[in-house]
Amino acid sequence: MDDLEQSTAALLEELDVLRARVAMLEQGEGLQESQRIAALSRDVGVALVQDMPLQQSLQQCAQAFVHHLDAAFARIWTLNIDTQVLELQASAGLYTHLDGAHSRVPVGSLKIGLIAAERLPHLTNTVIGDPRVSEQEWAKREGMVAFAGYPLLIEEKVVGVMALFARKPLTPTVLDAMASVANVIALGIDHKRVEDEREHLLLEEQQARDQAEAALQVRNIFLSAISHDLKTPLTAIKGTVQIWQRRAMRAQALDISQLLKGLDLIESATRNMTVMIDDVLDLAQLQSGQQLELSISQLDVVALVQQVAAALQATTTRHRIRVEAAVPHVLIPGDVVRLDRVMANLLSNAIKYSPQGGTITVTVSQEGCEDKSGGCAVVEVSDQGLGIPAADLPHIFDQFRRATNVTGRILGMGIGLANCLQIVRQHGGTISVTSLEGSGTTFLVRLPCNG
Amino acid sequence: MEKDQHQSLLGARPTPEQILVVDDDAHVLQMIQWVLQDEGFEVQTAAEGQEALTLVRRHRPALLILDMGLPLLDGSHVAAELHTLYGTAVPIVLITADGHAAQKGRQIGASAFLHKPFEIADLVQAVKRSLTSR
Repeated sequence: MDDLEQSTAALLEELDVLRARVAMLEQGEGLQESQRIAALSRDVGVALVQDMPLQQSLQQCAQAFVHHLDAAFARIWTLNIDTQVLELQASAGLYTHLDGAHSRVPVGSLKIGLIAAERLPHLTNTVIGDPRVSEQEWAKREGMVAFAGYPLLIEEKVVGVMALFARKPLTPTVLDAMASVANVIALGIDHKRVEDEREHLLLEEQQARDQAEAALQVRNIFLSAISHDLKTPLTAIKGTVQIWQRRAMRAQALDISQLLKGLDLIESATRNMTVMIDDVLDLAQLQSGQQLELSISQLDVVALVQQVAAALQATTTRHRIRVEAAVPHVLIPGDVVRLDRVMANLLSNAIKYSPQGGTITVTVSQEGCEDKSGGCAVVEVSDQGLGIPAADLPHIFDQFRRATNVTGRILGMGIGLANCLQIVRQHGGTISVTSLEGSGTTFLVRLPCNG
Repeated sequence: MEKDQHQSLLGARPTPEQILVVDDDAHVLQMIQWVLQDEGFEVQTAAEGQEALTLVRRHRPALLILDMGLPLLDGSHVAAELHTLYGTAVPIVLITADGHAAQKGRQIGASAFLHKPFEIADLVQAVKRSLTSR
């Protein structure tokens, strides 16, 4: 009995020592654990305050989980609010790829999506057998024991999910630490999103401002061009009128042929102004999204071309306008005022852009056209002028676009050819251009004879 | 009073003074030609800068009426060439439609400037004053 009592007392004594040692060990381990958690919090904090892209910050957070919590791997997803899909942003440890099966997880599907849908963490130290962990074979093979998944919440709203797998159980302290850094990470994601939104808004605002400024600049250039172009014929008209007022005041003998020359000049300058004003009015109609209202009647293209050519020949002595008509008449249904303006634009351009003078050839013919049973009137206007640079040719019919070799040197509104294109198209016709910079330009207009 | 004096002086000269007009608009060029011929001047015209340069090199005009916006060769080039050739002996009357006549006039050393559309009386006065103050 004594022996038994003795050995029992010794055992109890031994047990107390063991208990004390366990307590000591436990205390030491606790210390170690709290140190690890402090290190985790520090690393996560540092990652999130650094000035770098969000993905990079989150990657450092995931690395901190692996490093300090002995996780096998850790991942962080952010929620795309528009699509309600969790997008993988960071992956550290065993897996580091951001593509693959878990890179896009819709809210509500898989364990990650469920955490987001329920806005509740899912924690387990018994991965094998957990119905939420669908990859049981994989977990067994890799020896995964613990899983911790946390929703990242800002004011009860999900901004992302973080999760980790470990090969040994996670202690309650570790889980608490995860809960606390979850909050910090959520704040980091939200902060970044707000920042991105602000940047996006600023960018949009800047773009809108740039667009408005560009539109204003186009308008100002157009207004100064139009006022210049209208002042020029106005100068000629006003001057000629005043010349005759002065001559009348001086009671000079009336020279009828001189008077007629003056009146012709006034008529011709008035014609130029009318073309410009009509071009502006058509432009305004087109800019309001409406088609031009054509007034169609049967007209003779040969007669029209000859009339316009004669009127414009009177404005220049340096150019010779030659009209070659293959047939005496080409009848088409058309808007006589607008087609007159198309010819006037093409011919006055030919004059304007051949400042050194030269011959301008206009040919009129009637040809068979594709899918136009009655054929087409074909008008070709060729000059020997400055030509259009190849790079500008595709844009020469665009509103406000002028060839770069004349912009700033020869004034123009940049709307004549745009209107020509519109008018010809509304007649069911086509207009095209060929040009060689330095040698001249040819415009080719086809207008169907059967409308 | 001074103007009448100049006119009488001008009338007394055996050969009329020659004025070169440079403008790329044929109507304006013709109109100014009529105005100056009515005032007894001889007029030469050029529709672009290169042609104007050829004319001033060949013969010194009494005065130049110059439009600034010219194709091929800008008006300021014509003015610069004129200064190189004849110093300030040939006054320039600047005519422009873009509203910056004063600034451009100073730049090229014009003796007078007019905004299009101008009064004929102002053009005549500018020409005569510029010729008197040479």
